[in-house]
Amino acid sequence: MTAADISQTSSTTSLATILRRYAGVGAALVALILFLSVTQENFLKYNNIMNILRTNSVMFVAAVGLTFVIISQGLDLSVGSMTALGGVFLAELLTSGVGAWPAIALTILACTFLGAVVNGGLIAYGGFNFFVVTLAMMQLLRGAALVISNGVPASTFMWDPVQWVGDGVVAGLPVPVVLAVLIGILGYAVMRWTRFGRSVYAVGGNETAARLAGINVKQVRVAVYGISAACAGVSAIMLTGRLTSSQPVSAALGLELSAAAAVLLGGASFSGGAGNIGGTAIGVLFLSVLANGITLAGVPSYWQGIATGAVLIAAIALDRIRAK
Amino acid sequence: MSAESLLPLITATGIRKTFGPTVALDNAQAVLYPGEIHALMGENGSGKSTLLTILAGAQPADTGKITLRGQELVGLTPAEARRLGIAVVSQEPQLSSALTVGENIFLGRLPTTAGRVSWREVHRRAAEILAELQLEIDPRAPVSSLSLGRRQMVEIAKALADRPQVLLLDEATSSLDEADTRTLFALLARLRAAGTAIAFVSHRMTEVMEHADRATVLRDGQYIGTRLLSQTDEHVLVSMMVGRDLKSYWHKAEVAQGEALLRMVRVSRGPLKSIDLTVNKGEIVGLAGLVGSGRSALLRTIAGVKRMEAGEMFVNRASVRIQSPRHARQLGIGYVPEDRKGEGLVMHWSLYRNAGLSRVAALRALAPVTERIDRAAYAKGTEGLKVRTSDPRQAVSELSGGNQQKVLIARELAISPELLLLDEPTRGVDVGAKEDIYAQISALVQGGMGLMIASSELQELIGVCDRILVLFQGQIVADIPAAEASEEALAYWASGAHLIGAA
Repeated sequence: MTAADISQTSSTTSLATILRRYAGVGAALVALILFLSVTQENFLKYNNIMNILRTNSVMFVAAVGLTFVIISQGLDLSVGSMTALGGVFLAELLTSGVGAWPAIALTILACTFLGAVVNGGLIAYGGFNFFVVTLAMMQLLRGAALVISNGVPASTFMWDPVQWVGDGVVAGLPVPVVLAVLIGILGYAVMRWTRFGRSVYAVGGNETAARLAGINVKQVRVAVYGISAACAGVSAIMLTGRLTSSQPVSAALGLELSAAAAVLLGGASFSGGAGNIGGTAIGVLFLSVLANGITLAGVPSYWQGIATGAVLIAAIALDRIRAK
Repeated sequence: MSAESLLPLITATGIRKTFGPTVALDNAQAVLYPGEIHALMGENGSGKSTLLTILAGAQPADTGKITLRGQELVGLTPAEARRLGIAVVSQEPQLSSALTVGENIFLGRLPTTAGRVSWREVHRRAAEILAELQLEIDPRAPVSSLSLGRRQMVEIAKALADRPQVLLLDEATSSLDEADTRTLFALLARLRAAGTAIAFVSHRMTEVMEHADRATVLRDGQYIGTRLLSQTDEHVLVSMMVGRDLKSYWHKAEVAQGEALLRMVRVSRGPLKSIDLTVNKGEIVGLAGLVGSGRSALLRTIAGVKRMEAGEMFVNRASVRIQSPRHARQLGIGYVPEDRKGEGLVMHWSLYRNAGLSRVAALRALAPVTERIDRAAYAKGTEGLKVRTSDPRQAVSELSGGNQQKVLIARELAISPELLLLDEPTRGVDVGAKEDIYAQISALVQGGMGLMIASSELQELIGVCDRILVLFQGQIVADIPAAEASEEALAYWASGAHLIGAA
């Protein structure tokens, strides 16, 4: 028996245990909300809260898809570009006379297909590195969005269903928020309570063990990149509706990175096998509330990136402490 | 040999070492004479490695005395030990793979001229040392370009750079193949002739019997005895290590065999050449052979990890072509891979989740999965296995090797296989857990299960199995009933000795 085996049995209480139990992004979120409620009179206003939720539902939906990928020990850098291309594709379909609902469905399908076949196929069956593949796709899809649209935004204002998805209201709540919540719940349930969800954790936790235990690792990989792209497709509809137009140049720029930051804040890690959608929701809320707070406090929005980066490092440092 | 007439070079007596509540060593001892190769033996967890690290100054003993040439050493540190001529080679090569061989050998004490490292000097002296060891390794080659075996040699060269008088090797051969092991022991024999005291930890009985002069046995941290190997045999050593009569230890039961469960006819794939074999219900078939002989490859083929390329396979008399591990499990074949950390368990998962993995993997993609499935799998799989844990919700990484292995076996038992394939089921498993596993194997086979066990421990194969197949270069070269098998016979076939002059 080695010293390492034994030291694990003699658990160290004290600071580490207390941190493990009570600290975390959830606690930080509560603290942030309390702080803003006290210092910013406008923070708790209904409109402000709805505004936070509505503007960030796009990021949340993308982050849900990305959570699957990151838990499977991968990364999808093409999410932002996929969202932009989805918007352009949707606008193209609409202007060429396809009905709004079929166009929405086709857009999501097309994104899913691209993600599953190109990203997933190359990574799972081609044996390519996920970073390389999705980095290439990030460039490629953005390029495709620009080529198809000629770089010109196309208005989608005339198509009610698209506007409804992006900016509508249902039962007093913004449609994108309702959609985001539903997708979040669905993602959570799939991850938590299905064989597929468990497979994603297993593949991320120990790919070889998963394969030898009878999980088809390649299928799981194709599926997670497909899910990530499908979520990007939904984001694309939501974003296009909110902006009332496709924005090939500027839409969802850097979305993949802010969504990844939210996923990591929520407790997932690049070493795979850990995390969940609940954590992702907290991560997205934290970044959203932080950004909102910065705006409300009148701090130049340029500071947002610095705050996000600092929070991310702090969260990962905390995670290190907790793992000890 | 005349070692007894000399004065001991280094001694450790009355050593006690505790880690928290665990007593790793209690009244352990080792006495090394100059010019001997001394094996430190014992089951895993018996404390051999700990004793070695104490001799090397890597950690202090709680009580006990270490002497070097009659002088007591107090507060020994690794640097101090090195200065006194005590060198250690650890199990895994600890080299910087980006650096050259020469740089690694002199790492931390690079010869300098006027504050600048003289690379010419480094490589000249490294070449000298390597030549002395009769190793044909270029000192300018990066370590990353070397095989694992060669790296271990460089590690030894590094240890020898200071011309130590005491050389301690902790399972230095566990990552070496046959040829490298031979080179290593030839090297050790030359060092012995030069008067070095050499102690090595090894699990390979044949290696010990062949190369060591004396062996010290530890059990549960206690000194059991030291034997001159020319005057003893491996059975004595094993009973010393195990501490009891062997029959009951293996839990060998007489079981009536049923009909054929698995039949392979001229199956070939990759390293495997034309494998013919049958496993019956209620039968335990052992697979012996050197590393790379095809033992693991054979199990992997049956488990569906690799598809067979030619031949026929029958499971319960039905012809099958196993496509995947999932397919194998559907056919009732459970598989416990060799490397439990790398290929078996998800280390940060709970015992429950790990135990449920094979069951969950067998479901359809969107089938519901809850904790209940895991718990049921755990309850079913661990029945009779005595997994020692305070809480099955803890991560398996927190368990000892033996308990981890039990969880992995439980995972496969949870799917109620008809045929269970075990690859090195007791590697890195302490003696108590080993016995639990043997007892479980015995219970399973009495329930009509068929088992295939690949193991490097010939004792274990002879003790546990009904029949032993010996593989050599991908072929089955011998099929010996365990009752008639001896380690010599198995080693004879496994080493390919039958090819030499058909003796």
